[in-house]
Amino acid sequence: MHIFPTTHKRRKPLGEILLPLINQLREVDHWVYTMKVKGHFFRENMAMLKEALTKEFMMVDRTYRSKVALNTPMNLRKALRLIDHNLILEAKAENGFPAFHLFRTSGYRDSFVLETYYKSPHVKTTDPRFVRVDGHMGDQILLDLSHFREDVRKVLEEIVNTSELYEATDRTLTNVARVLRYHEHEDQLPVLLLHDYGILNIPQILTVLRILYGLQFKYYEGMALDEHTIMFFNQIYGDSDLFQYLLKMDRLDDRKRRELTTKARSWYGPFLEQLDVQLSQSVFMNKDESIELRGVLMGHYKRMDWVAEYAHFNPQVTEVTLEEMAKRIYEQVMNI
Amino acid sequence: MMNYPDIYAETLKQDWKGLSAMDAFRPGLPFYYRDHANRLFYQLCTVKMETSAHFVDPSFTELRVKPQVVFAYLRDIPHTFRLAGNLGLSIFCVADEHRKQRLNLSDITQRVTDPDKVALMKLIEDPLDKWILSEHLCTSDDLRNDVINYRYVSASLVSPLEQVTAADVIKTAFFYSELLPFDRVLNSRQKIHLYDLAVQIKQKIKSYRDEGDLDQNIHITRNLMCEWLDSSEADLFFDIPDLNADGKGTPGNGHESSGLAPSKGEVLVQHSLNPNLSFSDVEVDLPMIGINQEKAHENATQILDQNQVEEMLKAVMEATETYDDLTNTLKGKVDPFKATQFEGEVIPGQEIKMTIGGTIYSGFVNESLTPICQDLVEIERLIGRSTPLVDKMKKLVFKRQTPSGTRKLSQSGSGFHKNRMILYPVSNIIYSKRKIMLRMTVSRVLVILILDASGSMRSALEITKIFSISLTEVVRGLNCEFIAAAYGDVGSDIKVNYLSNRNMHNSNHDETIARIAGSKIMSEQSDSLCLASILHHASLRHHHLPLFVLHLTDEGFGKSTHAPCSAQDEVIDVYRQCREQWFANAHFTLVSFRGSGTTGLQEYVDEVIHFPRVATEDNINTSAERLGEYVTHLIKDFQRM
Repeated sequence: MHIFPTTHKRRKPLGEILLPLINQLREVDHWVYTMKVKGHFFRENMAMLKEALTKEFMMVDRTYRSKVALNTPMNLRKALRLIDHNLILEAKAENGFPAFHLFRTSGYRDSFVLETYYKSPHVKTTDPRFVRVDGHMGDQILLDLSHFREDVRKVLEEIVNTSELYEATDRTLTNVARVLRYHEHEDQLPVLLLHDYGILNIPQILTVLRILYGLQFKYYEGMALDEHTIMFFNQIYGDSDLFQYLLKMDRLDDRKRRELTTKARSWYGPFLEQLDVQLSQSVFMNKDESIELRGVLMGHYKRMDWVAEYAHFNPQVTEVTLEEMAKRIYEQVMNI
Repeated sequence: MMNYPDIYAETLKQDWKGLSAMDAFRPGLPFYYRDHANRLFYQLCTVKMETSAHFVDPSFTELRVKPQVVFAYLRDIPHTFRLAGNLGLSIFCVADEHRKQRLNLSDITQRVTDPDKVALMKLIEDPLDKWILSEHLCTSDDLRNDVINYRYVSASLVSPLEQVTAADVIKTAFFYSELLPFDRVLNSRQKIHLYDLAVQIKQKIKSYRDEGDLDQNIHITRNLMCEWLDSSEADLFFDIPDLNADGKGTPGNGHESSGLAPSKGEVLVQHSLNPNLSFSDVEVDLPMIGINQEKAHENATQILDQNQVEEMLKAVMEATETYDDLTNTLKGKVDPFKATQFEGEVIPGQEIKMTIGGTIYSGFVNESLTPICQDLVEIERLIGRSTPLVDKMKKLVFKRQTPSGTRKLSQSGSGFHKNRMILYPVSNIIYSKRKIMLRMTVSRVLVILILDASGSMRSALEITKIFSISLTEVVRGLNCEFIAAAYGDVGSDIKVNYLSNRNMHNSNHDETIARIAGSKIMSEQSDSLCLASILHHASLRHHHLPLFVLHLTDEGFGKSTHAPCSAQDEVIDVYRQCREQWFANAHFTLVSFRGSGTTGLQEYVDEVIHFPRVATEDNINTSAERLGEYVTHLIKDFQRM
């Protein structure tokens, strides 16, 4: 069975077919950059931006040819759907300027982002792991694996034939997504931010959180990791503890997996409570007024670099308990 | 290849974590999850809003503000913080709307001649007023966490780099001074000066603040502002050094070099593309950010060349399909302490949890008070038809009794002796001989009348009403709490219509009769959920009382949950839960309209009374005797307790 029926028959790569559109998007963003960042907010620039948005260009596929423009999104979307059903062009207004994101998803069900073709440089994303998409059924949050694509392709180049490389990359990312979707969640963002900016110096905290999320599901039953998925977690993903854990789970029998799942449910509550204690520690963002770390996180999730730079933590509060708990949970999982 | 379980297996966090109000408006959830979470959110939000309104105005009756849901539509905000945002804004807006007094500095500004001072006072007035209210809300134990969390979340909407107006700087100083290192990141000397001034005012008011009294705080603030205007500190503020030629002033700590400072173009774009700002705003506000007036005017004239901007914006809106320009509008417009156009419609209903077959199930029940019947002829007709039944029942019930309860004399109200009114200040003999007798109401039992108002009960509606009215007439002579409710489904809404006001001690029986006369038949019914709702809510207030339940039904039960059992088993489980968890002493009577002699609940209820479906004079008399016997039995039972 072919997972992506429209892609494997195509003569040209999808990136080439979409090139006229990508060039047009680049031109728009050039004028946006000129005005928004450089501050050259002149009539000529406004006219050029307007022209870039209204200019018609050709979209040509093997059996399809159409004249479209960015200011006619219905026609553009129709053209993209005929080229590949899973192509999505997200166009949003950010501070009065347009921002675009062109990407390909895996399909309707358990959808995630397989490949990004273009993203406006001035688009700010709070959580790089996910993409929010407007859909017919309401907004959807998709797991974004496109930033791993290039790495996966490079590794697979040595293993598979060039003609199969595109599909093999898609297949590997699909298998990876089927594991990661249970471990990654948008609610983990606060911990991710604290971890990434070095505010919470507990190396295993994210891994343990991912494991605790994953263990709540029954997807382990009947699980068997293929070699490409193992390769991804070993070489590309960058979480060696999670890789070890997945290998361990792969080798366990179903009875022990269920046992672990039951235990994980009892670990989750105390772990969050301990995390809550950690978030209650006082932080000085100013000279004399202190607030809780939770407040800093809520107010500054978009500018955590400031927090890392300006915040002074209360030295009395240590992270030992949470760190110990994270270590203990990980050891218990690995020693089962 | 990997093997995976069924595609419909659990894939969502909510499958194992459960739903909460935090999941309201979360994208990517199935509709039935989202709907349930939304209801939980509105339930929580309504409670918090009522608490807030009551805190600022104890005499409030109805909420004048709808729940604020703007944070559900801001794309950047993580889901974990959205609930805090929506709740906090709703709480604040309700308090702002319902409070009685506001800070008014207009009379203070009148006596000041310096136009700069007048302008400053106008700028300070609104943020200061809102900050006082916010601090006042923080003194409530129930609201403190919500208000503080909201202050944190709303700080994410504020960027020191986008502080384009003086009002922005002042507001930020009042609300977020502990959150943002403004003194280090503000990019003009004038801004820093203004910021420091607002912080000083805030600290001073804080030191004089009276805990727990909003009006007093407003009064103190007015006095302090008067003092401040008269002092020499105020004059210092207006003595600001000239700005640099580039219009940015002296940097705070050199952040401009690191690229954090907004470019001139960005600031101007903020102005020109924000539909809320008019040209006059730009003229007035730009000098506050450190761009000299002439240059600002020149640039703004060029920017606000209407045709050019309109054409470009039209193209942008077409390309991005944001004709309403929601996201952009929000980005530019959200005032963290002001109601927005994004209001939620409260979905009525309260979540009820019940245990069926050992598993917990939940549902939403929409509770309301049945409107009073306006048809007087109908009420009189029903009272007339129930009179024989009432008479018979009273004879049986009050055979050897007088209405119980001790009595005391009323100390107020009507019944004054007009000739003795002159003695009013010194004597209580001004009351006439016909004094009002008030019964000491210490209830000893709780009687709940539950009517099944589903479509199958249509033919029995008349007799149900007659029975209910009769019972209402009889219990008024007893020391008991009486609650009557009818239930059924209207469309997808599961409804419980209370026929008596369950929140009032000994509610007015005449009013109850008028409500019974006005009760109507609904379509389907979810028996167990409605029963659970009525009984559970009664237990919250009267759990210490012995309970007598009269359940009027034709036993054509409807299912409320997906439990693998019949609807009748669900009802039995609710009875059981009521006995085991909600009330220590519960007595159930089934008044069955199913037909004589047959019932499936014989073993699970204490008493069964069969009633004919159609009310005739004969069968009413026959039934009355049985009902009278039952009520007598009921009274004897509770007298023994």
